[in-house]
Amino acid sequence: MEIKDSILLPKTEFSMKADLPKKEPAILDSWQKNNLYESLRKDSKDKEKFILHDGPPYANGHLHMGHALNKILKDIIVKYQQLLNKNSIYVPGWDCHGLPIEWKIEEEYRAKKKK
Amino acid sequence: MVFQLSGKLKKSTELRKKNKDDVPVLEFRKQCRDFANKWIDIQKKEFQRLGVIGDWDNPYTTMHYHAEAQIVRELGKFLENGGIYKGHRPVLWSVVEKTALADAEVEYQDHKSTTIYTCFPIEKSSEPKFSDHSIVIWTTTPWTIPGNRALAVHEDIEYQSLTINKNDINRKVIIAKDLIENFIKENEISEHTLNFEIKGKELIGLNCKHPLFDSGYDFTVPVLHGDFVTTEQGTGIVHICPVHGMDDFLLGKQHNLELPMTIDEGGIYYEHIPVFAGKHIFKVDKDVCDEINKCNNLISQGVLIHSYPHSWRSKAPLVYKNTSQWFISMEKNGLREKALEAIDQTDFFPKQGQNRLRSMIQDRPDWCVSRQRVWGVPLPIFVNKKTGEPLRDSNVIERIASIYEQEGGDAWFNSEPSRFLSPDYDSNEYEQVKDVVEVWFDSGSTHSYVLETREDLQWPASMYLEGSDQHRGWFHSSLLESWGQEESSFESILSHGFVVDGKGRKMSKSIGNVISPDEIINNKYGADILRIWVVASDYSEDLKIDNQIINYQIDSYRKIRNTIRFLLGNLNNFSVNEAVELEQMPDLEKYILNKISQMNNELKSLVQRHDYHGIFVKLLNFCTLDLSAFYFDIRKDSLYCDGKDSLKRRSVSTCLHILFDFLSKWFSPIISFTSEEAWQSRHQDNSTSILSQTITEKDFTYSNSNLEKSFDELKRVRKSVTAALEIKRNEKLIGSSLQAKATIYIPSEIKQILSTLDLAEMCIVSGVEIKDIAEKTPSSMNFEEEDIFVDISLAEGDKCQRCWTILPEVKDNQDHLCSRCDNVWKSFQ
Repeated sequence: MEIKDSILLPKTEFSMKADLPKKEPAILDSWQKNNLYESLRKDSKDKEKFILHDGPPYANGHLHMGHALNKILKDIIVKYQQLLNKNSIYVPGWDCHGLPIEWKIEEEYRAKKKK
Repeated sequence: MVFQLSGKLKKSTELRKKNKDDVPVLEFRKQCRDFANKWIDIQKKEFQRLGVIGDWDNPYTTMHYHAEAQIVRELGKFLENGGIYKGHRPVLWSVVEKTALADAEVEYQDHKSTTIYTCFPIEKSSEPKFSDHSIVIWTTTPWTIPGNRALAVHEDIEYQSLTINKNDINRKVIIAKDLIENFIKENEISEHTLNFEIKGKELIGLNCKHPLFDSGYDFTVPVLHGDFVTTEQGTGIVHICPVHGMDDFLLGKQHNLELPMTIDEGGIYYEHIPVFAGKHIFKVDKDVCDEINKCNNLISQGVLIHSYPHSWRSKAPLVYKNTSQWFISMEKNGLREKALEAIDQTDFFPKQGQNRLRSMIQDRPDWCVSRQRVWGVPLPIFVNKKTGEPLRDSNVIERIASIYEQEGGDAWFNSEPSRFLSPDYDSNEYEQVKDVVEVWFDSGSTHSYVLETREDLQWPASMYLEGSDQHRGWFHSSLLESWGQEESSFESILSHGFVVDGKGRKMSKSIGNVISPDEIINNKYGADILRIWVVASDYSEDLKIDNQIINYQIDSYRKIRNTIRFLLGNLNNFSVNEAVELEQMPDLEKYILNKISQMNNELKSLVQRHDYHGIFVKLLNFCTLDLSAFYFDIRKDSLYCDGKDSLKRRSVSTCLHILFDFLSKWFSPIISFTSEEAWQSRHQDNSTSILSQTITEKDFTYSNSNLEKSFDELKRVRKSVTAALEIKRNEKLIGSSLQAKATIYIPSEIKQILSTLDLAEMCIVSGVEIKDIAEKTPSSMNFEEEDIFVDISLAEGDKCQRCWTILPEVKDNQDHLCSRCDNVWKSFQ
């Protein structure tokens, strides 16, 4: 053994390169597979409730940055409350009625008629 | 008036004309439902990908049958308490979408309008001085002239009679005194003379001929007093069209003016409207001007670009149109007052939200809840054919609601009215309303089908959180809807700004500055970077984003990841049973533990204040300043070179272990994915998620104010030494700081405070000599701290081959090691 081998250098599989676009989906899978939300509810059922009531986004189109901001901010608040020992419940919702969807469907009918 | 329909909207209106009525309502509604379901599934995945944890398997929707049933029950309560009434009133109307718009759906944009100065000749009156006179009005909506039924003046305003000459035509006109100068200029009047001056009240009661009197509008209109009349612009006399303006409507109501039927829902004049029948109001300005001119009543026309209401979805300009709609009264049952009181009892983050919501509730008109559409919850109203009154019967409402629980709102369209009315009422005596409820009522009622009926939830909610536009949207409708039932649905309201680009501009396809979440999350950087961006911004204002800003977040992320990596790497061979009791630890560890405890308390209070930006800044500074640049820097030597079982190294490891635990938890709400990755890496034998960890009151607290004082002094000294080393490194006197010896000149009080600390170790040099400040030399360096001077010289002795410290003792060691390293090395042999 050489002297330099007696030095206790740090060792970890937690790499400096994050590679999040690849790693995050796997972590998400593990949360879903382990029923994280349900188990949180079960484990904290006797704690004081914190309820952030979701204002429903409109069920139309892919997410834009405004959606992302809104839901992430909500999630951060919900998670801090859970971390600080509350039963922090989050039920997402959707707004479904109204004009924009009517328009889309009218357009679809129109397209079909043309054919 | 110039009006352009966007291509898309044109198509939509054409379609409506062609085949809207061909499509069976139920089939159409089913398509709408399927469409919504499809997007819910897509958005659900996209939201989850952001790391958002929630009950994604059981979300709520406003179109769930139970929701539709509850919305009917909520409407039923307003029916029963008399809050809902049928009104005839101008509402903001889109002739493109053919529907009334809610206040929340209206946005103001610049719009180019045709303006006209038009004469209303005064009919022969008992006052001979008005003979041959005209009253002049100015309007930005010539298309409303056919609907004119009165003129409004203000009784206290001063008016003047002028004789004006324009293009060799003389006219005698009445105009407000304060507006004459402007009138003369705008109308290019070549000459004018003053005849006499009068108060507005002298004009009241006069009758004027309609300006299109000779073109089929052969009636006169009265001059009335209007409180709303000012001399801000125009002529100080307002043309009153009771069906296309709010002030106009109210004045008309007061004086029993006729409410003429002028245009249909698409903005086309009815057949009985002389001259303009069949024409579209957005294309009729020229015809109106020409026709008034033909009648010799047009003085001039022009254009005005002004802020004008538009539909926030179609961007089409809106008009006021008199319609028969269903309203919720703001006054009946004291709704406005109760809602205002509720606002006072709600916590707002940021504070300004309170006034914002308050002023909106204070000024809003009655709530128009009906829409002439099909994709919504049908209004559960039957109107008595004889009395015109809506049926207000809770049994009927409950019958409708319980059917909706099973079949949804479709039942309204596919059932005979008798299904809801019998046996209590004869369906022949009632007319079934076919309007749907406006969507803000849907979402305003979520408390009833989400908070109150789900067992996992409770009511009121702790918090509603949305973008600041929801003060006029969801916050607003939820407040009114729930206060109709005497209760508030939320304890606090948090509002956030909008996402804009790096220059503060709205994102738009035409500017090309749109950044999509997908681009950042899946293509480039990951959700945690976006999550950092959220807390790195101040949510109470607009949030800027562009590539440069994202690069800042990536930089912050690296610093945090580096900190976590250092902890994990050095905890690699540490197990909890090696932990050292706090009292046995060196002062530096006690100091860091004291810091953790402080940070933990601060975090708790910042969470209470909803200052997540504050949390992030504190945590990031803790990682970079307290840990990386200070604590880790100093303790690398111990971690790498001390004996694994030495008390000191075990103390450091214990401290790192506690640090890891807290840092992972503190960061987990923000960078949830990375925290989980780190947590699983540390606890490989255990599958519990970082997100199920908690921090409780019982968790460790440690406070040591004496240590804080000495470390504050130490940091001042260390800063000066580090700066001095940097200078000597640039001068090439030293490379590594361990080659140096520092001579520090400080006052004796500071020396006393620092007496227990190993300054060489803290400053990462091989030797430190402390002298009184009086002994400083001309070459001594001084930085920001005026009572600290430093000299740097080469450390004396030889370099330890293991830890690189330079010490005299190394020379005599056979392996060229310092005594600490010698001991450790021996243990390996």
